[in-house]
Amino acid sequence: MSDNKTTIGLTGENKEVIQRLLPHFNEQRDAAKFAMALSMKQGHDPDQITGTETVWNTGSFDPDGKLRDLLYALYPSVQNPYIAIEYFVNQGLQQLSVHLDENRDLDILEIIE
Amino acid sequence: MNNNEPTDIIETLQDIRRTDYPEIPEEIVAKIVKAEYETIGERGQSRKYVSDIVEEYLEGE
Amino acid sequence: MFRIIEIQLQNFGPYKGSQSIVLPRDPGVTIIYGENMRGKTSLLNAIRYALFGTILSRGSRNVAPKEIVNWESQEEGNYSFSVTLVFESGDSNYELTRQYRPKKSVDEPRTEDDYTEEVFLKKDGSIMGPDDQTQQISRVLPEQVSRFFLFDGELLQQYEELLIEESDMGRQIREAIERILGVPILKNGRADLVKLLEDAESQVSKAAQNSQLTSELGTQLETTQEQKRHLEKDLNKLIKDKETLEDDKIGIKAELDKIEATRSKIKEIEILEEQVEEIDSKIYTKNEELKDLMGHAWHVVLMDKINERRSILEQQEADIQDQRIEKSVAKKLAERFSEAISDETCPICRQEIDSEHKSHLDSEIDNINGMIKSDGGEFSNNLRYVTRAIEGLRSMEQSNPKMRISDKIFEIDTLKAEKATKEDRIREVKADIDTSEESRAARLIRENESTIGKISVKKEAIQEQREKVRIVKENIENLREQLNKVSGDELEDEKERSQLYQDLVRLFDKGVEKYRDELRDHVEQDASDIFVQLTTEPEYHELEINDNYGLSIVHESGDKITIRSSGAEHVVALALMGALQNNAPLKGPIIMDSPFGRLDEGHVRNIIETLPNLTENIVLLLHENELDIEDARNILKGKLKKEYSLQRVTARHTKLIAGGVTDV
Repeated sequence: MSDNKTTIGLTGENKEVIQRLLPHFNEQRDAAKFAMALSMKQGHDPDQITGTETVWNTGSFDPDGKLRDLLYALYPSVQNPYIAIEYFVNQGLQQLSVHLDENRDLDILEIIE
Repeated sequence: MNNNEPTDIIETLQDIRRTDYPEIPEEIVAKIVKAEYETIGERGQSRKYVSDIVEEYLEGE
Repeated sequence: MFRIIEIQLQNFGPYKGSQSIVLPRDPGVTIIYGENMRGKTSLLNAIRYALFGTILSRGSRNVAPKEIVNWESQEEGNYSFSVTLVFESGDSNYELTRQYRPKKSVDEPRTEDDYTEEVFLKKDGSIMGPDDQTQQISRVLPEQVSRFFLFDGELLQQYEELLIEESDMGRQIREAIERILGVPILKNGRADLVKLLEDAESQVSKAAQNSQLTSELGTQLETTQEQKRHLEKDLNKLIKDKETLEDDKIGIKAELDKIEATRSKIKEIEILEEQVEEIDSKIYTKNEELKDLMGHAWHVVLMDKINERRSILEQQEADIQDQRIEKSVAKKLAERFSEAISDETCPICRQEIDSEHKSHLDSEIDNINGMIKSDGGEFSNNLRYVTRAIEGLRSMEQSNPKMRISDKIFEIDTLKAEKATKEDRIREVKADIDTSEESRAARLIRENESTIGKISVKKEAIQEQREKVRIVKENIENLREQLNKVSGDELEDEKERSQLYQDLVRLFDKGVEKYRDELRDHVEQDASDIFVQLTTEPEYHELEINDNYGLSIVHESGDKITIRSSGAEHVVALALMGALQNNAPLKGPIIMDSPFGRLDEGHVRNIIETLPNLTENIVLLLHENELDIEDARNILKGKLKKEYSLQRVTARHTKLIAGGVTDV
């Protein structure tokens, strides 16, 4: 297993999406994790994304390695968990963008049910 | 009073007149009250009528 | 006798178009039924408007006439309304029309200034001039006592004013009652006699001047009388001014009362806005708390997936353990087989193992070893992976903030709903306020204080002036006595006239007092009798009257009932109305809106039975809940002369329908 991805990034579009989510979170990182979780919950397969600009390094995004362990646990075939995480984050933000357009604001209860 | 004549008023005055002012002629009181009753709202008129009533009495004496 | 014959309405309140009520000629009761908001109060207001140009709303606030124009007719471009009252008073027939319409140059009136009001009064067919109109109407029914003929059960607080001896309103009402009871006849008589006495005394002094003996005294007397006349004129002016100021004070108070309603609304808004701020602050705090919880929300989102995965992994772990055990058992078996081959004896049955069986066992051992080796590394890797994964997932399950997040969201939503309710209320109240009233309030308070000060100054001045008049009168008395001593027969006629007038003045003076007292006693007695018939409380013995014709209930113990329910107020007011009708030279119809208000059945029954005895013509404006029409018919029997009902055409259009309610 290669762990040499050291950053997590966002597409230009997703940087705007995360701004829209900010009223509900203390930090962008929390919103990013939320988006990631949404994408994973909906059953998407881990993948890779390109065209991102770095926002966090993996050490600050996942300081205790819990996310990494989680990825391994959920997706045994994954080679690089942070690549998958980056993908899920961006994919999830795309979904939340649609959700925000439809609902005017984040309907937290709908998502966490 | 429950009719259109001021009899109650006249009676009240006559009661007082009999005890306190017997020298006032009885008929003057009734006439003055009736005159006031008929001219209520026409102030100038009433005074003239009252004056006539009193003068009539005084001349008759 | 004042008798209303017909009330004609044109676009007045809910009465669109031309509608009318014709009252029966015979003595009796007319009942007009209508649901709430159908226009019962408007009928009372129509009569008030025709007679006095005033319209009252709930809470006895004056309503601007432009609010009365029927809305539907306004929408159709017709902005006028009018009321015509056809009535009899004494031996004359009257037709009074009061009309409110936009000024000629105005197409779409918006403010009061765009309207004009016109009044026409015909007496026996001839139109009366404007000054005569006002005088005539006030003789028919003075505005201050109209409350005793146009009875609005909702305006009971007015009757309480009568109980307050010192109140300015009390004085106005008392004077109005006395006017209606005939006291002015005596007062006018006294005023005329006083003036005639002055003239007679003047004649005495003039006659005295003509005689040598008495000319000096005569001159002094005349001069002093002249002085007295001036002083009395000034005194009367001061008294009039004081009364005008007192009337102003009443007016200012009425204005302030109206504004009081506004001020309390403004206060309500302030309180609500404070509360909204507090809620905002709480919402902010909870939002911050929610954000903290949202830091763990990703966890909640994945909880199901994690649980599912954990179950699968645990199953895998179990399977792997089973495999492990299987392998262990197989290994042991291979070892036993090896032992058996080297011992050449079966360890169980102790028999020799031949070469065929040996070769079979060898083959089994190879199989087993093959199986054990085949997934050696993978096997333990798998197990390690699975165990680690399970541990990792389990550690995530420890804190699940899902409940806390949804509770927090619920709390925030509840606060937002509370805030929205309060903001709605703020908007509602603001719409109801005329903000220009705030500055008016300040001005009125200043005016009120200034008026109170002026009244106080006038009172002092009046006292001083009275003293001056008294001194001058004493002087006149002295001079007269001197004149009597000195004069002979020449002044006999003048003195006789003067004496007669003097006696008459004193007679009428005492007459006013006595008559007032007698009247009050009669009113008290009649009101008591009526009250006892109306009340359902057997311990209420009678009514006691004060100088303002205010009535107190007296318990059989002799104690006065100081705190009265609105029900009791109601009944006392009715008793007073009846007593006034009995004692006044003016008799008129009694028109009652919500006469029973919140009275219980017992009182309602008593009132219905007693009503026809109060006066000849009674009109009741009722809601079906106040009195069932069948009950009314049964109790009143032949005394119920006519029925009307108010029918809804639309929310803003009511039709007056004559006939029985059940006929419609």
